[in-house]
This record gives sequence, structure tokens and C-alpha cells, in this order.
Amino acid sequence: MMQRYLLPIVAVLLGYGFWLSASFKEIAAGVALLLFGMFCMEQGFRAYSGGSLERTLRLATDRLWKSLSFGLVTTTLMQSSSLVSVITISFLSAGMLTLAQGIGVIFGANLGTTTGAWIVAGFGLKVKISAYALPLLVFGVILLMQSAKRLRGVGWILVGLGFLFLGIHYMKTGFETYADTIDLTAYALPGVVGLLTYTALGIAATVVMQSSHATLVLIITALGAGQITYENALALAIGSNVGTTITAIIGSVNANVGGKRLAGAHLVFNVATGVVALLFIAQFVRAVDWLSAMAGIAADDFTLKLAVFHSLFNLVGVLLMTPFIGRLVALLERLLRERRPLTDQPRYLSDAALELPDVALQALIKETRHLFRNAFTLIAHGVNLRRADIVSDVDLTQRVAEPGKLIDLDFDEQYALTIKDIYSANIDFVTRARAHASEESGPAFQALWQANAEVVAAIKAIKHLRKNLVHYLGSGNPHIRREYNALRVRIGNVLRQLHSLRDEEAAVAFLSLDDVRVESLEAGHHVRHAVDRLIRDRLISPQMATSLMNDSAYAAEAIDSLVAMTEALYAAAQPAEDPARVDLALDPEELEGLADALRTNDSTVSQQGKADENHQAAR
Amino acid sequence: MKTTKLLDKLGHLIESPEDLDKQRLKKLRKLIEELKAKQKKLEHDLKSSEDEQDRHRLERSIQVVQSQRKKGHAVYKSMKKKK
Repeated sequence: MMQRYLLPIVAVLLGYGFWLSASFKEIAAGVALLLFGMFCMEQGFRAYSGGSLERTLRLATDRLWKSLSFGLVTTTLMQSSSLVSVITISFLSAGMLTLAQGIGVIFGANLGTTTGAWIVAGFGLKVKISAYALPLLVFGVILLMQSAKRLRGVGWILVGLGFLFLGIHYMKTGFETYADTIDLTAYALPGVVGLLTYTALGIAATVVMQSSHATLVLIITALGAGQITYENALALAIGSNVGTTITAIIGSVNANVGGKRLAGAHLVFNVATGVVALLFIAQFVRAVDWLSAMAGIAADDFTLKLAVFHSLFNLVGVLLMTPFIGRLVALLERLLRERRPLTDQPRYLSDAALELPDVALQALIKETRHLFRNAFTLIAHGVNLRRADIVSDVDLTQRVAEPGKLIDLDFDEQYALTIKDIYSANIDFVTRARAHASEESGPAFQALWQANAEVVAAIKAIKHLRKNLVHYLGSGNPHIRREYNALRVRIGNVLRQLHSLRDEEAAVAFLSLDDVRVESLEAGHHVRHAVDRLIRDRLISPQMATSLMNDSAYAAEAIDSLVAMTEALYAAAQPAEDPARVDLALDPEELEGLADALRTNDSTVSQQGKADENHQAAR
Repeated sequence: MKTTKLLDKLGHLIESPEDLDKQRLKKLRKLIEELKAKQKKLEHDLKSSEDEQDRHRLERSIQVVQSQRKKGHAVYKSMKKKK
């Protein structure tokens, strides 16, 4: 709603301004170039996402002091707190970062963003910055023409810096020519009124430009040209600090509750810091004077003193707020509660995660595991087994032999409640993530797509199997009951084995899947053998026999799908040349050979047993 | 531990194909050793188990691990020879 009116209003005001003053046009063009430069730099740093950036973030945020330092260093390097915020929100949404760690990064980023003021005030205004801009643009564009992704990334960064410098240059000259025609200092407001008015102006300018960095550069260049007073510049800097939270708030609209909480923390920090700076402005000014004198900054060098002020009040904010991060987390968790809809929803996926392929991959792996956990319960109930029995050491053969009630289950309803939304979201997410994915991560996304499809294939097979299973578990024929119970045990054992893989080292767990496959082959043979015997001995009807054969095929299908799902999940997380997959896993012929050998062994043992029994009887 | 991991990753970027082969060999050997440990544990469980079904399950698992180790050894030897 606001955006609908804001854009035409801003366009009309700008048009009027351009018509009115050439200097204003120059300043506005400077701001536009600066913003475009920042956009190019973000684009450049994104070329390094999909691996190193995310890995560094993961390693560098496991302690609070590390989170703070990481926010500070990366924002200083990238000169964009919004990129750091977006990455942090995506990590948080993907469950790879806790809220407290995310808040640490945001606090650090706030401090890091103050380095921009130092660069502009200390370097941008003192040297002819446009002289650096043009070579940077030339080298940047040459690199942009390269095919290597990382070189293009450097190209974007150089082009970004070039436009950034060019923007500062235009803003500087714009204000200088402005000074010759109009004296803006005539509009300076002293005292509390001035403080509040210019703080509000700083907020408004940052909301419009959606960049505190751009506002600050504008303030410094205007201050450097003597177009605003030092006191009013301080108020504008406070305002820009508060206004910058709008970017995080807009960014969190589509994020999950974690992202919203982080944006909330950003807002609380910046507003609290702003309020402290406004309340103690006199003390801050004195402290800035003292620090500037200590650092050898001239008393009339207001641009550098503004940079000192900006850093100081953000530092005070970090020092004041850091001890309360725990309480802030608790408050935000209380205020922004996760809405729990009737159906189970995806927990780790977000639009923010889509921006970074490595984060998207991790989020999707977690969400596929979430889907599997739900499928585990549905499949267990589908074969009338309790989850608790499967994950315990209970003997399943004994458990199914005990008379018990059927688990009351509306299969379709449970599917809609616990599977459908997550599955749909995963497929939608993987399709969109693949569009952003690099060539190397393409197979991993393909594997995850397959893993999700296999989970649902297993569920569908169990759904078909359940119809006859429910019917024959109540049958008066003990033979058919026993065979259906054997199918239940077979599926229960596979679920148990897959569950126990969590305790094994990943590669060894992956190789355990061969064990599940051999067992499945053995069991398949057992059913065929049993059906033959039961029909031959007229112990079950032909209808029962065909049902059993079909349902045994469904059971095999469900098991194959579950194994394929686990395999695909493993493949998504491992490199292509992983020795467990390439060198050690058994191929289908080897698995068949093993199953045959075990069967031969068994029949030799049982024949030997029978011969011994006959021999004993003869004696 | 984390610094080592970081250095490992950095090493990856500047490694030659021979280094990568060396790493693959190292991983393979480690995995074969882990499988050996798993087999020993299964054999120990088999000794103490009297339940027929449980014994059958353990025997099957041992055979699978044995086959995987055998396959791994063959790959390991041929890779060593190539070197």
C-alpha cells in the first residue's frame, strides 16, 4: 500500500527537483550511482556464495564474540550490512544459526557499517576519488567478460567500487555547486527541535534509499560542503541508523519466524541505540571532541568527527545491548511466536535461503529429513506398528504375534496433515533452487528431488498394502495372518535399521544400506517360497495367495524406495568421488550373489538339520 | 580442529591430481578400517547370541561387510599399483 503511493510521490518530487536545480540533479545522480555501485558489489560477493562464504559464516559464528567480529569484518569488507543481514536471515531460516548468533552478527554488522563513514570522510572527500573510479570501471568490465565465475565476481566488485566512487564524486560536486547558489545552513534548526527534525529526516532518507550507507555518504558530503551544520549532521546520522532497519524488516516479510525475530532484534538494537544517542547527545559530542583531539583530528574537521560519532554511538549500543542478547532472544521468541497450523509445515525453507545455493542445499537436506521423520510414523502406523516399538529393542516378531488392536488411521488424512505440504514445499523449493544452483551443486539438488519422491513412493506403496493387511490381520486363517505379520516385521526392521543409521558414521551408515538390500532380496524369496508351499498344501485360497504376492511386491517397493531415499540423501551431502559410493558399495549382481549364497547356506543347514532329525528318528 | 579443516579446504584448491588420489586412498583405507571394526563388533555379537533369527541377521551383516571390505581392498591395491 505504502509502496504504491511512495514510488509516484518520489518520482514527482525528483522530477520537480531536476527541473528546479542542476545541482540537485547531480546529487541525485550521485546517490543513484552509489546505490548501483553497492548493488554491483553485492552481486560480486554473491559469486563467492555457494561455498566459501557460507562455510566461513558457519565456522565464524559458533561463539558470540566470533559472531560480533564476523559481522564487523564482513560488513567492513563488503561495505553492505544488508548483504550480511540477508545471509544471516537465510542461515537462521535454514536452521544453521541460532537467533543469538544471528543477533551477534547483526550487532557486529552495525559496527562494521560505520567504517563506511571513515572511508568517505577520511579518503573520499580528501582525494580526487573520481580519478580512481574510471580505471576501476575499466578493469571491472574486462573481468566481467571472463567466463570464470569468481573472476566475474571480482569484476562486479571493481565495477561496484567504481560506481561507488563516481557516486561520491557527483554528490560532492553537486553539494559544492549548490553552496554557490543556495545556503542550506539557513534551514538549520538548533536545539531539541533540530535534533528531532533531522533525526526524522535521516530516517525518511534511509527508508527511501533503503541504505544507511548512502544516507551517511550524503550527510558527509553535504557536511563537507558546509551545507548542513555539524549538530544537524549528528541527528541525521542517528536517523539513518534507525531507518536502515526498514531493509531488514522488508527482507523478513517472506522469511520464516526466525528471520522475523532477527529483523525484530535489528529494530530493537537500532532504535535503542538511537534513543541513547539522542538522550546523551551532549555527552557524546564531548566524548567525540576528546577522542578526536586524542587522535589528532582537527577541531574543525567535522566530517571525520561525524565518523567518530557514528562509530562511538554504535559501539556504545553494542556494549549496552550485548549482555542482554539472551533476554532479547527470550522476548522476541515470546512476541513472535511460530504459528502452528493444523498441517505440519516446512521448518527450514525460506526465500532467503534460495539466494545462497549452499544454504539452500542444507535447508533442503534438513527438510527432507523432516519429511522422512513424518513418513516414518505414517509407514509404521500403516503396517500397524508403533513408532516407539520400532525405535526400541523390542522383538518385532514377538510384538506382531501378540493380539492387539488395529491402529486407528485415516491414511489419506494423515498424508494431508503430515506429508503433503512439506513434500509440495520441498519439490517447489528444489525446482527453484536448481535454477540458482551452480554446475557442481546441480547433482546434489537432483538427488534431493529424488529423495523426496522416494519418500512419497514408499508411503503410496504402504497405503496399497494396508488395505489387505487390515483385512487379513483379522482373518481366521492363521497362515495368511502369519505371512502378513512377516511383511509387517520386514518393514518394521527396515525402518529400525534406517533409524539406527543415525548412530553410525555417515559412510559406514551408507554402506549398511547394502545389508538392508540383501535382507529385502532374501525376504522376497522367502515370500515366493511360502506362497508356493501354502497353495500347494491348500492352506490359503488362491485369492489370498494373489493378495499376498501383490502386497509382498508393495512391501518390496516401499523398502526399495526407503533405501533409495536414504542413498539419495547421503549422495546430496557427499562429494561425487566419495569412496563409500564409488569403491565399496555392492552392485546389484553382488547383492544378488550374496542373497543366493545366504539362501544356499540356509537350505544346506536346514537340509542338514532335517537329515539329522531323520537320522535320529531312524535310530 | 576447525583450523585444520580450513587448511584442508585451502589445500584442496591448490592440490594436484596426485594429491587428490592420495587423499582418496587415505579415505578408502580409513573406511576399510572402520568396516573391519564393525565386522569385529558383529562377530562378537554373533558369539554371544543364541537366538536363531538374530544369528542369521548377524551372519548376513558380516557377509555384507566382508564383501565390501574385499571390494575395497581390491580397489586400494589397484590404486596403489597405479601410483
